[in-house]
Amino acid sequence: MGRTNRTRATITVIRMTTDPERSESNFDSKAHRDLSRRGLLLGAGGTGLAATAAAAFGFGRSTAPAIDPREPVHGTSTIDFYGNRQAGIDTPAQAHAVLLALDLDRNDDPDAARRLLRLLSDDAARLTQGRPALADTEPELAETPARLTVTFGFGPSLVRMLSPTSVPHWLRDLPHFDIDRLESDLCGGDLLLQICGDDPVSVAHARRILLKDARGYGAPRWIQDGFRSSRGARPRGETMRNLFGQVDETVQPRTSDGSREFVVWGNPPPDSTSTVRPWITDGTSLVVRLISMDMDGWDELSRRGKESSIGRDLRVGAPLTGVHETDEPDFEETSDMGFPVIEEFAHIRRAHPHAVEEQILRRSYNYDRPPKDTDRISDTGQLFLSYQADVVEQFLPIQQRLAEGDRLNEWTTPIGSAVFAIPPGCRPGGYIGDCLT
Amino acid sequence: MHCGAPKQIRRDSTVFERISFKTYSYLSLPCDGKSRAQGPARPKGCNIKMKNSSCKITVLCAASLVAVTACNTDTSPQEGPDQGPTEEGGADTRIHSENDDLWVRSAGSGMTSVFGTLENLTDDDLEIVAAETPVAESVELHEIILDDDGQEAMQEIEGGFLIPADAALEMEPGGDHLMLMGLHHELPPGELVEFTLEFEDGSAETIEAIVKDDGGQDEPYESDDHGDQNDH
Ligand code: HEM
Ligand SMILES: [Cu+2]
Repeated sequence: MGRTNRTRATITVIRMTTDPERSESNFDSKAHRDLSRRGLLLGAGGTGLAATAAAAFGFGRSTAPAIDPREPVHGTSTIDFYGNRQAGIDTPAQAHAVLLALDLDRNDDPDAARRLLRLLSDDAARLTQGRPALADTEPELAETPARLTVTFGFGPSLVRMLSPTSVPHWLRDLPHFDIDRLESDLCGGDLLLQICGDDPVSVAHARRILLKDARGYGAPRWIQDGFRSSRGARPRGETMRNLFGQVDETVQPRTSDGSREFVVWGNPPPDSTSTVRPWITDGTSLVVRLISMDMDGWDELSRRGKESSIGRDLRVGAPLTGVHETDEPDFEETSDMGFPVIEEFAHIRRAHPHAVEEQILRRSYNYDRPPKDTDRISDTGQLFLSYQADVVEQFLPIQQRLAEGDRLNEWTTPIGSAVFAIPPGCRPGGYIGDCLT
Repeated sequence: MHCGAPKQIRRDSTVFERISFKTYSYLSLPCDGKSRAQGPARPKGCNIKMKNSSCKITVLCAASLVAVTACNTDTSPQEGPDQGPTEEGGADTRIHSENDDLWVRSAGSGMTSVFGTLENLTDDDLEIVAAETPVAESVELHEIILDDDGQEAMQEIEGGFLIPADAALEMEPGGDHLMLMGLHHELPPGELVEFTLEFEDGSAETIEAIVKDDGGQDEPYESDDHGDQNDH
């Protein structure tokens, strides 16, 4: 009989599965207890022995386990997907990122675009919460999202397709800059998926799922990944370092003082005369610049030379006129010889705003890949990500100044470039882009 | 909700003046300055569309109300008809897909399958005896059997899907599923498809599934003869 031959049981008792999630902290604290008890025992009975052994073999602390087993596991931590605003922008930067820029097969079929966005939003909603995507062939890889976020960015043709009247005037290619050496296959794109997470495995899984679901609607135009220090490697909140060794992203619009609200989301304070407005409430923009960094050329500089090119010291990232990282640079200060302490074409002087509008949120990732040319030993650079409510008012004047004069240009070369409109977030049952009609 | 007018945040503005306007003149931009933001767009239609007695909505109501409310907290007064999830579905809902996880395998024509969990929300056993959908001529309830050669094959199940009280039917590739026969049109990934499930007492309930391309293949269909051999 067919029934008796059924290949698998299909009925499960679901009350079992509604168990409260095993909480990370419970798990950890138990591990702590067990461990510290062991540690105590060892400490009491074993110290003498250990010390003797260490002395005899001439090693000090290397008897300690390489990885402290009490280190908290953070794979299950999640960032909300649903909300007024998309995650992955105000979210403190995760350790890993991959940006997928897709070309859509058709730019005249809004229904197809909506189906695609519904699918991808559904995937993102599940994966970011540690749940497998629908029809996930590797569901186990979804279990440790580690603050996974998926942020959608729309190119001009996609916004036009969904809502022709909503296309922001700044949503187009940046003007050409003399410093640019852009490769066309590293530029543009109709739909951007910015995947960030602290675990490269769940990032890779999300990447696979999203690309799989996009398959019927478009193809990758470019894919770029990058990294920052891994979670837990450095004190929380410490400013990242780029591969030139510089403390990078010191000067940032902060949530604490409201400047983030203005710079990224276009909500100026009530008494502001600024004309910066978001293209859509809770939307913003992303400028991607893929910038290659000439590590060998950088090597030839003295430490002093490196510091004066940027206007900050390398050790703590303090302006050359200050002591601490967060000290305000004094662009007026001159040396005994009468030269400005922060050089005329130092990066921070050139990047420093001339108007309140000229501020951006940077959230960049390092990249380091095998060289394409055999005469080099690396292909290194920065996946430079800049968020701002208005590309023309905020980003462009800065980029313009840097292109016209910035000591750093000698060692940095933009090779990729793209601009995306970031739509608002969505609610359960909705999808990213459903606000555009 | 999140599509309203830009909200003003109240805060002292000194931070914006920390910038020094010193030595450098403002460089004019190569881009035309004419197209200024005409204020934020005011998109319409961002309400969640609700369907009566849809199981999907029950999931939203039950599981997601907290999140939905949270999204609302910092927005300006609600405009219009956007009420968020309501009590629809509620009491009468007897079945739902636990994680909102019903999906249909995308197909160009012919037949295709539906997978996902169907949870019995009642205290009694439920038997699904039939199903229908606007996108296909008919829907069959299928199970997978091992044929005489030990190969997996699918066939219509006798009776229906019996889901005991407090249990869930897990439909997955290689197991039980709904089978759409005679698709009226292509089912592209991302499309939402409605199904009406009929219970043994003659009542019915509507559920929704999303179309996905999982790259998988349907099992071969047991031929009638073959099936008969198996069943007799
Ligand atoms: C590989 C290329 C780049 C490197 C290595 C780099 C590095 C740095 C470093 C080390 C600082 C000082 C610390 C800080 O505030 O972050 C800085 C500041 C800054 N950079 Fe860059 N940067 C690069 C490209 C860019 C680009 C393309 C832009 C914008 C178009 C930019 C905009 C800024 C801004 C606005 C500041 C803050 C200036 C201030 O003090 O007010 N940077 N950058
Ligand atoms: Cu079947």
